[in-house]
Amino acid sequence: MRRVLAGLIFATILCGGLVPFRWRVPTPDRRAPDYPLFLQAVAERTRPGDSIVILVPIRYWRTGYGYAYYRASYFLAGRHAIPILDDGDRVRRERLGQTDYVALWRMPELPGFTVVWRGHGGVLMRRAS
Amino acid sequence: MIAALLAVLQSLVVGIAAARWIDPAAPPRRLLGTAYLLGSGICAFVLLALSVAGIRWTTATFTVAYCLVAIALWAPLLRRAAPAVEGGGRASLIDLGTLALVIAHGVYAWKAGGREWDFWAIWGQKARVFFTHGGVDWTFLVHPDHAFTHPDYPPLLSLEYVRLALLGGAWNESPMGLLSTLHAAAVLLIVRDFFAEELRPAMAAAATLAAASGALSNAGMADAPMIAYGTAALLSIRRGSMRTGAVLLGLAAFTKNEGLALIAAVVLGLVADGRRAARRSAILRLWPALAIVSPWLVLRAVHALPTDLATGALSERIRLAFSHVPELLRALAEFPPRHPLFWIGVAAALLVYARQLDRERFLLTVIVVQLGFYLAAYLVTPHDLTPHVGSSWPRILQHVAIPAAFVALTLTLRRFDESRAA
Repeated sequence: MRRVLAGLIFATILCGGLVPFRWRVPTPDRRAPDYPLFLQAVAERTRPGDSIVILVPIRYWRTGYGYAYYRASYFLAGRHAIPILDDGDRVRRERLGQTDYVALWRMPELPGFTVVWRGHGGVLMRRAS
Repeated sequence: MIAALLAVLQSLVVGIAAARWIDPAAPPRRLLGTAYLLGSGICAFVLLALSVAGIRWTTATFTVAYCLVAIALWAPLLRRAAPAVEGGGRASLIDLGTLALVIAHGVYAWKAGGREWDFWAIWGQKARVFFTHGGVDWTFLVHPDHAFTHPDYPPLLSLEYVRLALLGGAWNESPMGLLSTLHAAAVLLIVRDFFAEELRPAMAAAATLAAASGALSNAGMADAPMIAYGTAALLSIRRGSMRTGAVLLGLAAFTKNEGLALIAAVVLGLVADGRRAARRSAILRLWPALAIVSPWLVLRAVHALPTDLATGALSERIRLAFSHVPELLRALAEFPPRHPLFWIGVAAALLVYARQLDRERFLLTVIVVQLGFYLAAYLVTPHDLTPHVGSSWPRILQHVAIPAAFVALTLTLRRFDESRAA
């Protein structure tokens, strides 16, 4: 009886560890598959140290701007990615005046900037000299 | 793949020497596992030291510094006689099951690469910035826009990613995912030998297979190295190998803030376990853990890196903590452990063999205290509590899965053997 009990406990731990045997490969960009391609292209067209404001058609950090900004920071490592929203989800237009570039994804082009490159649903613009 | 193989080789070369210094009698499996963990930690320290010294990271500067460290570790050992190896036990066919699990996890980890949020928003994010910068970029870490990267988190894993990028000559996420499997494989080799000291070979192999899921965690996140360093440290200290345990404990603290909490939990575990004189001596012998993590704590303080759990007034946080208790209980019920049946089995073993738990007082105290720290952190979290619990609790519970399974499985399988003999 003691042996059966020990065997049952062992089997529970063993099977519990293996079932459900699920290692999920995450798909972080499933809703915006071209966004990382856009960011990669922006990285290739800018240099370390450049500042880039990130503009996407989402007004709140929690509903997607956070994803867009954090993802941009990752792909644009070495550049200074600047969020257009502050902590309170307010649009900080003055940040456009302090940046070398704006990366607009699925957004209309901005006056005062010239187009550097367009593709993957977005446009990279540089401050007009 | 070549970068990953080179990284493993680098870790083993310095790690075997380091392991021979701190645990000369370790049997081959434990030596290999400990060597990988120590070697990875040493390489991370080499990178941090170069950065603090103002030397830009390149493949050449890292290789020169690494070779100097390797020579310093190996030169005195070559004049010494080979140590006598103790224990370890034979391999078993059941070990092939564990090996198959590790290989399957490796395939998953290679595919997963850097796709986890915690990779590209925290560990990989900082590594990529550091790699581009050629050193730890303190300006990036202190900038308020980058608070989401948790600048105060210890840097071991990010420095591991940097090493892979330096060895490969470019940023490549796939081998970075594979590090999770390598950490898991290292700790399973160590756990296998610790089981072999408690059980006969086939039982030790079966116990390792049953505990393996505790090591095989999400690719690209810091939980795999935290589990590896933390588990290896706890089982070493339980065995009385204080020097090895303390060094691995320090590396756990150099991996995640939970590793810092683990040092405190180990001190309490030793207090609960030993006689007065013995426990004082054991606690004092933990000094390498503090020595290893101190440089990071000093750098963190010097650069005033923000930590989100310490934001706000203390009195307000305590008041909020009490008000969070009902929500925490609801969240814990909503987000059960990742492997519920596994934990049911562990709990059943602890209940059925409750009379034998006294000799495992150290491990059980550490597990309870560490989980207590995690729950306390939830109560003072500045984030929304329920999503915070949902995104982390099933994952961080794995930090103590193998130590818990170790207690449960040794008790269970020893009883199984005894009843067979009777």
